[in-house]
Amino acid sequence: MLMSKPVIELDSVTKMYGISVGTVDISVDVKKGSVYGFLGPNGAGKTTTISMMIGLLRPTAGHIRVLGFDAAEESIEVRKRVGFLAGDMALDKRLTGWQQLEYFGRLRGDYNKGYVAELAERLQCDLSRKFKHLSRGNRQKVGLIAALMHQPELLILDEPTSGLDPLIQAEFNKLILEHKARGGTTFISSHVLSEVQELCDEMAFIRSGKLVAVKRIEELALETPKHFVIDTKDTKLGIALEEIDGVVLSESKKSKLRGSFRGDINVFLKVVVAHGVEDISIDDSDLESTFMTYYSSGGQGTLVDAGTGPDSPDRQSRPKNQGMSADVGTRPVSTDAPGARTDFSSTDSRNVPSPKQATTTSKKTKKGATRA
Amino acid sequence: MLSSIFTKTLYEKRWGLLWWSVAMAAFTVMIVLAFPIFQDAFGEQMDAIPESLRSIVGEANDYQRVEGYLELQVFMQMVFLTFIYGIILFTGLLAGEENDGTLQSLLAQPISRTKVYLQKLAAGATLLGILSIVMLLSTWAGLAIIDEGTSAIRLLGATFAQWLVGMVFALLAYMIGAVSGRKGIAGALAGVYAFLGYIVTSLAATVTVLEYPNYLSPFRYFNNTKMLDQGLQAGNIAVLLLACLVFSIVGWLVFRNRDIQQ
Repeated sequence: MLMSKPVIELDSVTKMYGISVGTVDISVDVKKGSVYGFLGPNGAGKTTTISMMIGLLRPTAGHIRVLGFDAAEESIEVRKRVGFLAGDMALDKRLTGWQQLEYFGRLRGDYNKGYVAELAERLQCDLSRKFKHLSRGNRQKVGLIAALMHQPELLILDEPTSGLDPLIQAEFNKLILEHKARGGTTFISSHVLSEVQELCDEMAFIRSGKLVAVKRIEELALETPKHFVIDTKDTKLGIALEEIDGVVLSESKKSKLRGSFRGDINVFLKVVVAHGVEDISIDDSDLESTFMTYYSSGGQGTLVDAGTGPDSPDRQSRPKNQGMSADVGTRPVSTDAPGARTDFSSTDSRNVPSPKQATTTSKKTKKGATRA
Repeated sequence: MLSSIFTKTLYEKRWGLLWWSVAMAAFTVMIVLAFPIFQDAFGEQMDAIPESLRSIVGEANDYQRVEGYLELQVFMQMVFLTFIYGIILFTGLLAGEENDGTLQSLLAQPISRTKVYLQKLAAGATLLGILSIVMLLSTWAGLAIIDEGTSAIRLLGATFAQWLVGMVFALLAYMIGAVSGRKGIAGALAGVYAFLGYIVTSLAATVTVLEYPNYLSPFRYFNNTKMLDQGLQAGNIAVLLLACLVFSIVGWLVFRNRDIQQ
């Protein structure tokens, strides 16, 4: 089967700022047509990695190829084909949105005013106001239009949804999925899992400049424990459940069983049905808590790559030991409640909440959230 | 106006240029209009001024002729405004935009850093040139009001030399900004160099220890031969042009490959 070359290839990329570490030995492949999440706390190295992709920074070691071009030596070719949004978008404060976009469009040589107007309408962005008079969210919208207006093959977006209200975030998600439907590829960085999990086929987790893990969204869901409470009259059910791989019972008294389970839900349900229950409740997967384990463990001993897990058929065939771009299947329906949100914007990589804290935060936020 | 980096830079700096031009024109006309007063007041009593100060304020004879007066009171004074404007302008073009993040947005477009560097340099040189022309026109206007005259060619030459000295300091600031990405450092170093250069050149005629440091001062190559009396000297202009070239090339070589932080 003919495999297309990755749209983005990071090959053992290291960036040093003098003696300070930017990124260390990062290898990532992003497949054409996918939406790829790049997650980590502030200061993890996300912006450094993205800056190297578009040629603002040069890697200290390793190579980056974007759409087949060397990101350091052929950065103009890369930028012709890429729509880029900086994390902290700054444009000329004395120009209006229209003027700024016209300027960039003319520099690119393909300014389409009609399409800009369409994007502005969809994102509810008033382009007639000067940049200095815009709120952070509206500045972000102008930046998004600048990234999208030339309909690029590849979008590289650094924290694209920060400052956007939920309605505009939903419209942004639509735009990304439309881009994907046209065969486009998107690379999104974020420190908020819930903002990108709806979109992403695959995610890389970065911490302190190092790649901690690369996961497909369905793998993340499988890894994530589901919490259950069972009322039963069958006293042998607890023993039967404990024999299942991935089940941890936290309470087993009289007729009530409480615990968590990770893995294939069908195996679990088969045992439960065989013994019979009075009542059962199973919580949604809390992806945030799993997400947090990649931060709190610091990646030590938890490196699990998409396509390189014990069950992966790709495990033996991949040349790299990190950042595999495994075949991305159909994106599963998210089991996390929309609105559940763990924001790491004020959390640097040296001060990360424990998984327990994260779970608590997530659950608290989920209370009262509306299910999609 | 928004079709290229060059024209966009002219467009965004238009108001600053306007205010500087108004100030420059007003100062220049006022100084020229004062010539008859200086001509009457600065006579033989100038001989009482110590030799060391005379290298700064000029000889009595200079105030009796319009050329000498213009050299001392217009060009040697207005060159201050020219290089201050030049330093402020050129530190903002690259380092200033890098500091506020707008350069990064520009460099995310498919254009080379060489193009960015050269078009911004050309726009800055044009703006400084417009300010110099404003001063030239104001000088002419002032002379016409007091019914005086001098060689138009030499006045044009002196204006060119003033623009060139301003460009030396402006390009020094541009180079430091392109290399360091720091607006404050670029402005401060170029400003200190300009101030020291002015002091050294002013005192070099009477303080022998400053004779050799004076060769490093761009002002030495500005009015050391009395531009309006004798015209421009090719050697002086060549040194100033060479300095501009060196600063431009060094800045460009570093800027085109340097890391630009977001």
